[in-house]
Amino acid sequence: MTTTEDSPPRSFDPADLSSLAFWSGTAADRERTFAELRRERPVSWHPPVERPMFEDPDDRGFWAVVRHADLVEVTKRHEDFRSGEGIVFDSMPQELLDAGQGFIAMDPPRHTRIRRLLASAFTPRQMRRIGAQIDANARLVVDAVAGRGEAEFVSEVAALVPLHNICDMVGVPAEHRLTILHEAELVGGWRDSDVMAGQDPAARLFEATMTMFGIVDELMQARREDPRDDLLTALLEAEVDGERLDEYDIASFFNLLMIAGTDTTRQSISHGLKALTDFPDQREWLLADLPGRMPGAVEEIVRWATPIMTFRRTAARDCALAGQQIRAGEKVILFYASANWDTEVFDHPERLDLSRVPNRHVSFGGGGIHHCLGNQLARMQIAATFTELLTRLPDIQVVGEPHYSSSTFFHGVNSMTVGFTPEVGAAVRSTAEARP
Amino acid sequence: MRIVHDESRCASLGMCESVAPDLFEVGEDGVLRVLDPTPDQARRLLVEHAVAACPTGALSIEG
Repeated sequence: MTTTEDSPPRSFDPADLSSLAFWSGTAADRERTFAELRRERPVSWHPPVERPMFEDPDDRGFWAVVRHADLVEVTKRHEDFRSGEGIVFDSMPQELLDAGQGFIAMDPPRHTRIRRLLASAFTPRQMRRIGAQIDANARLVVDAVAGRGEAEFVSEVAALVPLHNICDMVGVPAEHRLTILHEAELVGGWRDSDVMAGQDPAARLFEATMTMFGIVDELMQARREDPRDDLLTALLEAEVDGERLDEYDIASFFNLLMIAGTDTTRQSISHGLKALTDFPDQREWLLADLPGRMPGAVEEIVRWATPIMTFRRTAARDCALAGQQIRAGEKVILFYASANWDTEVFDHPERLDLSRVPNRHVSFGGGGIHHCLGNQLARMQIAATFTELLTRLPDIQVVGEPHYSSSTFFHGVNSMTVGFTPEVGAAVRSTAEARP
Repeated sequence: MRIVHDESRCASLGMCESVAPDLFEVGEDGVLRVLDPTPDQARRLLVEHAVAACPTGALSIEG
């Protein structure tokens, strides 16, 4: 593999995608930059992102891929653009990559074998099997706030539905769930001063990883003695290439499932409710035929939210992309938020249009081998949550402005107050009591 | 008509199974199987939908 060392330095694009200010600003501000790049410089070279978690003296910058078509192409060229070197902007020590990113940061052939193992828990048949449980979890979560008339939507609703569902699937008992929620939040929120509250990101992230390892270690011992019908038991019993997975691998999958399973769907539900607040005509249209229009509405909510704004690839060899010469070892960042606003694919992307057909959003991926494993689970959860909310609390609205998080990865909402007409006859309960 | 399944591209997402559960199935081992690779020509539209639903382009139709 050739390196970039002997190549002459190239100049950086004038558009700013690297500053802290850019990623702490609003999605609308970022979109102005993306729109200019999509129009004029679809594959552009930028300096390393400001204030990375780990200083990397070899980091020379990154390529920004902002068009829908180019993003899809990179996604499908997995031999040219690999994931094994990491899937976020920041260069990370290999131990942290292994611990937290699991098979999302692997390449074939190992990725293929591991992925199949986990895919067995996310098959359409499995999803149908747990459909009633997903509806029940949405109902319990809404039960807890329905009588109150207001709630902190992110922590009391949006975060809890996916948390309970992924924990049900994996087999995490109730007493660990809020700890997991809190620790998983740090992974996406380490750049956010509200989330970090003055703690050193790297140290806190290692601590969060250790806490998660502690929980999964305890659960693995319990499942060895008492196997259950859950994903953790399946992972303990599974064989890949004739070998059992080691505990470290399982712990790493566990972390990935908890992070990917809680953070993303939470953002879609939060952004979705904000969108329904900002576009009352769309809410009315949806309410006119809730079951019939929900599947299409979910697709548009997922496009609108784009819960993961970026994924990274690393060039495996010198190759061309949209007229640019990419060199081996260079970082290539895919901008999903930009691709989902590409006017080549979406008519008036700035409008929430729940009737949008076709909706070729890339929120679950551009169609490559890393396409979101939990996409069906996410769709079912979003549909269940909004069905529950809009049936029982049809006037639920965001009050004031949400507090958005600062991250180069998750498009997050830290907190968001909602108001609604309390449900008649609903008991006022605390969230803690919402679980049996 | 013959359904061609490229295993190297397949990510076992089961989108095809959602469209045509009697033609495709992701098994307990996480591997997608084409249950009926040569369905009746009358079902071509359904097969085309299932093939188009695959985000990784692992399915195609011959003939």
